[in-house]
Amino acid sequence: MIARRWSLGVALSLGLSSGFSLVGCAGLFDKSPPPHVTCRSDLDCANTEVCFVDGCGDPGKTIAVEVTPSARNGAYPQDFALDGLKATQTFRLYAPSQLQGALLRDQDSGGPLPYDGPVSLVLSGQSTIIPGLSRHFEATLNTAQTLATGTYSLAVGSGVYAISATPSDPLLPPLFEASHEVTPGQSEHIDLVFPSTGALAQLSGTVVRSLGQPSSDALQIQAFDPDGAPRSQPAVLGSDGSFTLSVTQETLALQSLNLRVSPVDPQALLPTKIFPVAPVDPLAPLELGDFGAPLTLTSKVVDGSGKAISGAAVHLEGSVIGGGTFQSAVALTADDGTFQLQTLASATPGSLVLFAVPPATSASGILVDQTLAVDGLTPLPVTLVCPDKVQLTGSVLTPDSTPAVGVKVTAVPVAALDPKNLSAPLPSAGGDATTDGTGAFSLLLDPGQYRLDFVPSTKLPRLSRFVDVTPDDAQTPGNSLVEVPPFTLSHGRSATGHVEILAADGNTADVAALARVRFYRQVDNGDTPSSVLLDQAYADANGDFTVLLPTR
Amino acid sequence: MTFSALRLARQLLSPRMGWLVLSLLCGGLASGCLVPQDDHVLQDLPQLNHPPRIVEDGLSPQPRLINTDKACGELQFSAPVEDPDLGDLLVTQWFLSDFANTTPLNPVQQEAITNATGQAIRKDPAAFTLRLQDAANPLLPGLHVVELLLSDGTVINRVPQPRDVPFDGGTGILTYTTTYAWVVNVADTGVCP
Repeated sequence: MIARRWSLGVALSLGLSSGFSLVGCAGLFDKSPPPHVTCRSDLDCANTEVCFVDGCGDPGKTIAVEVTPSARNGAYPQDFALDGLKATQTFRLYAPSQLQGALLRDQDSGGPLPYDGPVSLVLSGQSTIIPGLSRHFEATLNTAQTLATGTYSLAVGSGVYAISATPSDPLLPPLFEASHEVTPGQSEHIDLVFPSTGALAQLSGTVVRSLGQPSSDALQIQAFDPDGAPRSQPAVLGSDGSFTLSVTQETLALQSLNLRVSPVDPQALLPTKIFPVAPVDPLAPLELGDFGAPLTLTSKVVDGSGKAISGAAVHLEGSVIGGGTFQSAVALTADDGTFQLQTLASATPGSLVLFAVPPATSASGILVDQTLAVDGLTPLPVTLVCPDKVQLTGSVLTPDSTPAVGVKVTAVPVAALDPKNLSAPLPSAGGDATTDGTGAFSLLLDPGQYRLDFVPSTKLPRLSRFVDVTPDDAQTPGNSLVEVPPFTLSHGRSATGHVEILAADGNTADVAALARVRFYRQVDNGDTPSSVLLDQAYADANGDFTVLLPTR
Repeated sequence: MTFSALRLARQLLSPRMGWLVLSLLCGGLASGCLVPQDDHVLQDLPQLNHPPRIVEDGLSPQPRLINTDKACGELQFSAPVEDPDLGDLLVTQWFLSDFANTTPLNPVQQEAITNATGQAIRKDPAAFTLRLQDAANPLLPGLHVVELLLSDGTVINRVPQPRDVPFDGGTGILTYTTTYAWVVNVADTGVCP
């Protein structure tokens, strides 16, 4: 247990960039390329090994288990790394980990005093043992205990987190720590100490549309350091565009600061703009630029055969005139495929990108149009044609090489084919299918990298594989076809277990009914660690569970 | 006593009293039709289908309101589901909408959950990952609703479709649905959390 005082300086000295690398929760799965698969079935591996998503491996090794008690036992997950599978796995859970410490505010004279206002405390991160499992906890600290004793306590799951503490007083800058590990059953001590009045400074200025023309728009402004950590709370601009930010003296000593101006109402037709400045009070006027009057666009979304697509989500985002950025609200297409969208004018042709996302059940895929001129003079094309999805076909075999019938196949998008190429973004949804009498399956998918999860209906374990879904360049009408070689399931073995949770006295244990147990295999992708689910189950009323794991 | 009973029986079976006995017997049978038969006729019909259930004790995340930032990558939602009809294929549909918008009809994800264990609670929960930053997932800052709709049959545009299994006196087995929703407050401070 590490007890330390978390001052603003220490907290903010940790860069946000490292925080993103730790808590970019999607990142671990999204950014990792599919591994180089050295096997296609268990027959390609040694006698004791199983073909996993990252190649041959010992089925009893590199297994980690996440156990999450039910709500009545405190739904805070704990992780276990297994050295090897035993006949029966017993998971004894600790009482929830606690994040606790003092909640204080420094005084200009004398020692710090308990802070008596509400504080929003948010932890966002992931499991320490099972990479890729995101976790999120939050609470508002204003309990009687906090007010009376100047201390706080928050139950959390184990993991590594970025932590932010934002007081309700808008003049107090938030505290931020990019990375903090919480271990199972332990208490982590973090004192939250807000700066005294004397340690605060003002940073004032004016936002103008163009020089000499103050902005009267409903905008807000917030200060960030170059690493992206917040240095102030958002402040709403006055009707004359004026603002005053409350920051620490330490912030004023920085060489540069990013001031982010954004609409108070996210749906408002106003741009967002970031101003890198030297933190000198008062600041020179911040010129938002003349972003012009809102425009109304109409068009129709159709599929490759010209048939209207109903329920497609259409929006625009990118840079607009004046130098800011903008993201429109989402418009859903009507039954006849038509939609109406309000936006600002694009800075240059193509700087505002249009996205049209058909419903998940549609045979048409995502349209990304980077050629539009949104200038109030040029109308949108009469129709916007969504490309056909790619048809992925394959088959599943049992370990005996017979067709595996009734296997549920789920495609989970994990990455864009080329993250730098906006025209083929990471799909927001995959799809699922069930193998037919010949073991065959077919899925309609947007281009991208997917993880295919195969869940047999029989007593065989689930299987996961990565595939690239790439459209062909032939531009032939209809869905282009990607056929993958057969996937062979592994033999399975049942592993039983028991979950119990230590009582408050630390000596006795109670049954953890309805605890969720998830077995993962840690996957070595080369550069980025990740994990793949092997099986999962819920503990019964006696705390017992059974999972099915691959074996030879 | 024995003598009296034998004598009464002999008199009843005599030709002269036979008509009277027969009349009483027929009357008794006829009146039997008027005897209340509630215990048998009004008994509940065997239920052909039972509703599925979202087990709230196992929901993740537990709070209904989640505050996050667009920079935070993703949020993972899961819900244990159960149905006493062990053979039922449970269908999960996930809807994502702005708080102020009308109820969406098209799910962003749909999945079927089979029963691999023969127990009411399904081994695999309903699960959904909300990516906060994807270009194809245009989440504006503000309030959004993530809704799980669970059914034990086909649901089209949020309308349960009866299963085509005719039974006496009806047209099919009803499809049941149940829902649960989280509210996600997405901030745009560029900071995670």
